[in-house]
Amino acid sequence: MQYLIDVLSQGSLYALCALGIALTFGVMRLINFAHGEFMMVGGYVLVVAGDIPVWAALLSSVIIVGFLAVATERIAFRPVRNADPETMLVTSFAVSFLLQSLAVLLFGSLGRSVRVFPPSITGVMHIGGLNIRWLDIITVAVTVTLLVSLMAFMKTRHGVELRAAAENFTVARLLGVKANQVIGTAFAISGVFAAATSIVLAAQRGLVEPTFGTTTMLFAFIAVIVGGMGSLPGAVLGAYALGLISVTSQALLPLGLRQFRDAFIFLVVVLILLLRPEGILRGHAARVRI
Amino acid sequence: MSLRTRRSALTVSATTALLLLAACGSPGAGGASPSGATAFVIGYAGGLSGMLEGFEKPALEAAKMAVEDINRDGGLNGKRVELITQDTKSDIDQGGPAGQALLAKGAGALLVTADYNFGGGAARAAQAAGVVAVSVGAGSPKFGVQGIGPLAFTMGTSGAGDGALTAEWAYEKRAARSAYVLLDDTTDYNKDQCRGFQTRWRELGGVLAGQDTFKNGDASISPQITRMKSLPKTPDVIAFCSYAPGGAVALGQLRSAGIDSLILTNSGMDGTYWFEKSMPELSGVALPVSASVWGDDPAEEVRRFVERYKEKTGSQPQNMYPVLAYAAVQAIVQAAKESGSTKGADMAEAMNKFTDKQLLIPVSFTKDTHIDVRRPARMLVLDQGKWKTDGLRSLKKAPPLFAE
Amino acid sequence: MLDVSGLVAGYRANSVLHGVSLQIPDGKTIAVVGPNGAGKSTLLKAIMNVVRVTAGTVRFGARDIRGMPTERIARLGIALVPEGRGVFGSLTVAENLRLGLRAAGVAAGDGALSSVLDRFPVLRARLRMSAAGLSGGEQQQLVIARALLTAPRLLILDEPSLGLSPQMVDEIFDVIHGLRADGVTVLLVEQNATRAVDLADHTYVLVSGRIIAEGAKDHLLSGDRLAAAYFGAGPTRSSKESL
Repeated sequence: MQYLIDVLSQGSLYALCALGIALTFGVMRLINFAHGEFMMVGGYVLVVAGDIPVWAALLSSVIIVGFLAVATERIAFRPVRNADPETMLVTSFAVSFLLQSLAVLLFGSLGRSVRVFPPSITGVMHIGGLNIRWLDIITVAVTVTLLVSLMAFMKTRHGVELRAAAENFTVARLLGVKANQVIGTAFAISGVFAAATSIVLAAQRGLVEPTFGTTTMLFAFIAVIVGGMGSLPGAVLGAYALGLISVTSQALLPLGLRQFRDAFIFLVVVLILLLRPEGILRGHAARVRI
Repeated sequence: MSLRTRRSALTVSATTALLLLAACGSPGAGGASPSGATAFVIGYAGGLSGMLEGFEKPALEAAKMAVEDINRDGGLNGKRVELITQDTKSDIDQGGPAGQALLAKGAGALLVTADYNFGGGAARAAQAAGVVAVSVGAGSPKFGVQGIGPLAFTMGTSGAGDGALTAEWAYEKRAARSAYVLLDDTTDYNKDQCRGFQTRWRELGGVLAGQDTFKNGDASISPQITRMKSLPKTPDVIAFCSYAPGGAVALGQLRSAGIDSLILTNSGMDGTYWFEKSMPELSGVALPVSASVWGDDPAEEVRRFVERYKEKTGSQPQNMYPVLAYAAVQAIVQAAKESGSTKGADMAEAMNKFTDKQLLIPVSFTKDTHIDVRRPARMLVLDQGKWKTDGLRSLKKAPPLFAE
Repeated sequence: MLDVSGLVAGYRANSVLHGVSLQIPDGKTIAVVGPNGAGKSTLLKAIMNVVRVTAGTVRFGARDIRGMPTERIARLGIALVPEGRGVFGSLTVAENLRLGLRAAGVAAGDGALSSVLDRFPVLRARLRMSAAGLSGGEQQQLVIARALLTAPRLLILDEPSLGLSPQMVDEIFDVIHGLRADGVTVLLVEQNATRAVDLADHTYVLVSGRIIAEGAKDHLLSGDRLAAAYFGAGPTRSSKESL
């Protein structure tokens, strides 16, 4: 039961991050490795925000990262939009590296400690023998809220355009859907998710360093693949599946094997992909485009 | 001790190695242009940019201070000592080439990164060229005869020794009897530390309540905490073999889950940067270091050095590496003086004879052991957000340097 | 209305079209027929700038639209119904239709929608269904309806009868007939040559990236002109299948 809470919390973190990755992959077929650095920037915003009220710090993080994501698309990704996927991938690596170097330059490589929420809500609640961290509740609540908002957004006109573009970009454009606008929207939302991930992650870690987002981003990326490239529900499903696999393998593996936990996680992932090569939910990426 | 290998940094550096080169152009060398005949050149191959920058730049500053001091006192047998640098960009694969570049510029000795993996490449290049290489603080006994070669030395202390020391200190001075071992298995140093702790803890008669592992990159160690919480009794101490950033993350989560056990860790958790905002009142963390940079080191020279360093750089050092780097330069120059030669083999021979050699800190090597196993450690204890030195301690019984 | 001349286009280094010219006058139905691989779809994609044009001009009304972003061309009033339908399977039927409505604006929306739905009554009953769940014929109706909702000045249909049952093909051609009667300008690309030629005011025959014959129905269907032009040495297997 306690482990279930751990699964939910970890899965939610991965889901937040995975959705951000899946959104931009959906419309642009771009595997954005800079997403982890968007998160890192969000973390440093919280560091710099220091003692301003919590809501203001969170809001600045969301706004700045959202803006950064849109600006990155405009400056770095738009020129290579029609290039082959490898070029886009390399571009995202370059952006990632640039942002990391910038962080080292501005803040040093050692990292900065950060307190996101006041101490009163970083504690533990004891309910019927369970230890529930406030942070777990916040993590799940943020994820559910954003997920519901995203679902609501997807029903709006812009949301429908985004989903259409994710399924078949060319046909969407043939209907007059503006490519730049849709991709910009996707990046803005992706940035908001990166900021939300960074808030939860910073609260959980208490430390922001230049590689702040890297590991979470890698796991979220795996979640996206497991869930089905380009499928948003798939990304969420993949994230919780990965949370489940990693928590159970940590909990159940005997000590001698626990150091191979990540290898074990990847083994399960490979097995899933062998059974379902296109992921749990088949993404649109696999479908034929006009 | 060592600058811990950062898994996440590795992932990035591996994939961006090419970009790195492309983006930043060819690696440049700093310092004055060497003039072999009239000067003795020491090359510093380190991560002056990238993820190790936070450790290496302060160490380089200290090395520069050492060189200035030595030159002011007449240099090396009338020769000036010069320091040249080569950035490895915190990339393991850049270590070897950086070392070679420095050797090509006439370096007669190398200072290398305080980590076996990151510093090993440059040290191997030096060994191959017959030049002494001193790591500013790698915690691996392989930094020497048993690994890189007879010309490699490290100013650090071993993981096994560090772990054993905390076991003795906690058992004797804190009357701790039950321990939990929490190993971040990302680096060999961490494994050595936990192994050394366990070996000594058993010998002392302490109880091992349980053990678990995690990874430095883990965003959350909730499952590990859940397991620890299921113990009938909270252990007195946790042997916590990790390093910041991941160690800081895990430690914070232990505390916020209400686990108040005394945490025994290592110099990778030195510094205030990782908790000052998130846990300003943090207490109950202890670690052995070769020098305290927090103003209360038992040795006056160390206190004075730290003051000078702060004056010169305008910043508080966050760990002992500047002290070790200063001593490393001293060790190189001292070895050249004592052997009357700048040949690697002669210098190594002289260094092998160092026994409590009074440099900025005492340094001892033997023919077979190029890592210091004699140096008394300072136990740093964190109390209400402040590091305090709890006296000098020497190991009563050393565990094996290498795992069986 | 649409004036294409000397169009050279294709993928990467390989040109598929080698100087194609055609005119689509206002209110007329123009057909382009030709065997598989003749470059028919490429021609349409080139008009919409989905495929790169390397030479020639594309004018729509008084505007030069060559090289314009696809969505701007669409917003000028050209609706292309792509081959293989192009319904958004992850969207509901209603959402698919709403995508088309953007040109009409929200206020005009309901009226436009209901008049289009009158033309395609089968869709009205399926509005809340996932578009992926529609049959082939229904999907084709959906994409045509969706295109009509953009209130296009020119409707381009790429192989609308492809893969449909004969009964469905009849239905689709009835719809095109209806559009024609309503004065919608239509560019129809078909392998089902006879029916297309029969329907169109003017037909171009495209073979290997070149227009090799053109004319009105009577002209093309007299004698063996069409068959000779279209099939060359004889009917190919695929064109036979689609007939």
